[in-house]
Amino acid sequence: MIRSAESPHPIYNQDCWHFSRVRFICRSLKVIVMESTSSSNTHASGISPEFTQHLIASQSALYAFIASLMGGVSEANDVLQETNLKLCNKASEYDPAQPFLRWAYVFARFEVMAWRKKQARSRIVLDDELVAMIASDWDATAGDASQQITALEGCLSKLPQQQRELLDARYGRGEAVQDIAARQCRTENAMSALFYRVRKTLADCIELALRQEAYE
Amino acid sequence: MSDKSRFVTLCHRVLEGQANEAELAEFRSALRDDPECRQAYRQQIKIHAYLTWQHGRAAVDESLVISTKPDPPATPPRWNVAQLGLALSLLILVAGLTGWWLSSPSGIPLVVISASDPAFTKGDRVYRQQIDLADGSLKFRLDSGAEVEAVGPVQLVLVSDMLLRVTQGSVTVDVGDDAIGFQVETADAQIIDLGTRFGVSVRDSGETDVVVFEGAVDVHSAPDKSKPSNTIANLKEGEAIRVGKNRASQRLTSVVVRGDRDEVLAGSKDPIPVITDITDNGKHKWKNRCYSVRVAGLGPPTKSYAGIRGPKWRPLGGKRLPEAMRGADVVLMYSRDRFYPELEYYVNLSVPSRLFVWHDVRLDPPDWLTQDFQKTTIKLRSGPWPPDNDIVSQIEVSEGEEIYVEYEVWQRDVPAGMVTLGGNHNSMRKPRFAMYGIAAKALEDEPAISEP
Repeated sequence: MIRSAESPHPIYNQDCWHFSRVRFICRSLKVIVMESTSSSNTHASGISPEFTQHLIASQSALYAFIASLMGGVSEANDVLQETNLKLCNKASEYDPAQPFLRWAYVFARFEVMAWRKKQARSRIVLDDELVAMIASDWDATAGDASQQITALEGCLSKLPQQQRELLDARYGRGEAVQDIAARQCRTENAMSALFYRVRKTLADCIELALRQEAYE
Repeated sequence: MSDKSRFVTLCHRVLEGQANEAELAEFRSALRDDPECRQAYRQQIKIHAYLTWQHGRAAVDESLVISTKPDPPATPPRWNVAQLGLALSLLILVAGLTGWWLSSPSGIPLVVISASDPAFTKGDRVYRQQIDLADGSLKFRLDSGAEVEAVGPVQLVLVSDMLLRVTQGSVTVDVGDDAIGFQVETADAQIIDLGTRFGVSVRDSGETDVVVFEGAVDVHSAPDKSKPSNTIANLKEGEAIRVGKNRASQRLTSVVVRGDRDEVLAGSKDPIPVITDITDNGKHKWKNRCYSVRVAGLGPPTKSYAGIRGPKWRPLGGKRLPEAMRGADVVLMYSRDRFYPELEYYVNLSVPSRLFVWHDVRLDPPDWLTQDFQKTTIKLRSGPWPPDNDIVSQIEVSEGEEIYVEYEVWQRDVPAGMVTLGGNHNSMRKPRFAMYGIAAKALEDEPAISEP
């Protein structure tokens, strides 16, 4: 679909806010998340502004959780999208008194299991027992995802320039570790160990930052 | 797990999606038996995922709630307090998600991925109607998911998140699955993406060059009220054309690119290529075949052949590419050329250069190579190759070991101008050997080649 130059950006389009017979879609999910013929409010569909806020704020945490159960990020985005769909469909069942992420993790885990069933055995990194163990460990540490991302930003700025450039090459430009290693005349093993250390530094830094924040 | 360095290696292989069956089994065992390994894995994958997310390499569209085409209301909508509150909340939420982005509704929104101009900061969400770069480069992502790399001097107009209009210079567009149908317009051509990565250059003369690095595009004549738009070409990977004012097109024999992601450099003065053009005498099935010349591209592993994903030019295992070859311009070759001994290549060099040709060690070198070039002691390799490729069918390796083809490097010092190179072998059909590679480096201050 091509939008003309004159069309306003979708978020400024007043049609968005016309609830009578308006269908709202999660565009990238390519699914209808709400189709309301009610002209009163969103409660008929079960999606409240608070729910939407939780869903948006939880995306990075859900992505990380899904990647951890899948053993990598390569298809985590697809499973996240399926999870979002499920969460939208189940919005009316969400109890606002409960932590949103903990509730969402249940559906995310279910979607990971559904993804695993479709995969060849050789593509599955973790077995059922390990998925349960990792999910259990993860669930116990469900914190505020947006705080973690904010803390990550701060921790990245504290890294030495050389390490920031490495992360930029790997994650920003999507270069293979093997290629980065070759460019810097290092072995791939040495480079992977360096990335491991940098990620550990960032994890420790985030934990420290959140702990300090909790005491302040 | 007692061997921590082993766990680090395994964790890396898993995160990068490179672990084989045996490594996966070892990794699972470590996680199952050792809570510290589980803790370390959880930490590593979380940061790995956050960094992937934070750099925009995985993201759910931030415009979470938008409308499809609604039926027009019979009467103007009446807003009650709840609706207004909800609308406001949603707007704030969407804006809040992009809190670190600049917000100005004027122009088309884009997210800066990288920029040489300090006016743009990586990660910024800005709104622009046009981009005018005198030099340097800018890479950004549009809301449609299309990623655009512009190399100065370049002028382009952002018509929408699915349409760019290039008035001067070069852009390279990487179109994600969500942006299939993305269009680039110039004065003479309309390029419609069919799921791909492609480059468009508008030359000073006004002609439009279109090159496809992955996938395919349709090239049409530019929309014109007086004439209907007609299809000029359907281009596939490794093909390129030049479209003129009269809608006529011709094969574009080569393009100069930078980096491993093929940023088109036409029109840019920096860097200046040593190999300015390469063409051949072949009549190809793909009549618009185009060679990519990667400026200063020899050094880091670089893709060897168009259309074959795996193999890259590399030094031999554990060795470093000799300084004399590092930074040479390197040509992306066509593997199928190995079938045609009568093929000739015409390489144009901008300055006196050392021309390198590396040739499969398993194959007798052709006469033109032994007569005109000097054999060095250097060897290169390409790989890893998919095991089912006929080129490596006779190379025996242990199970799980990656397959590489070795090449002997030949060299020749030549003046600026055109050099003719011949086919991969003398006369017999020898398809089960790899096509040779070509690179050139300016001769100034060049150290003599010695043992690697």
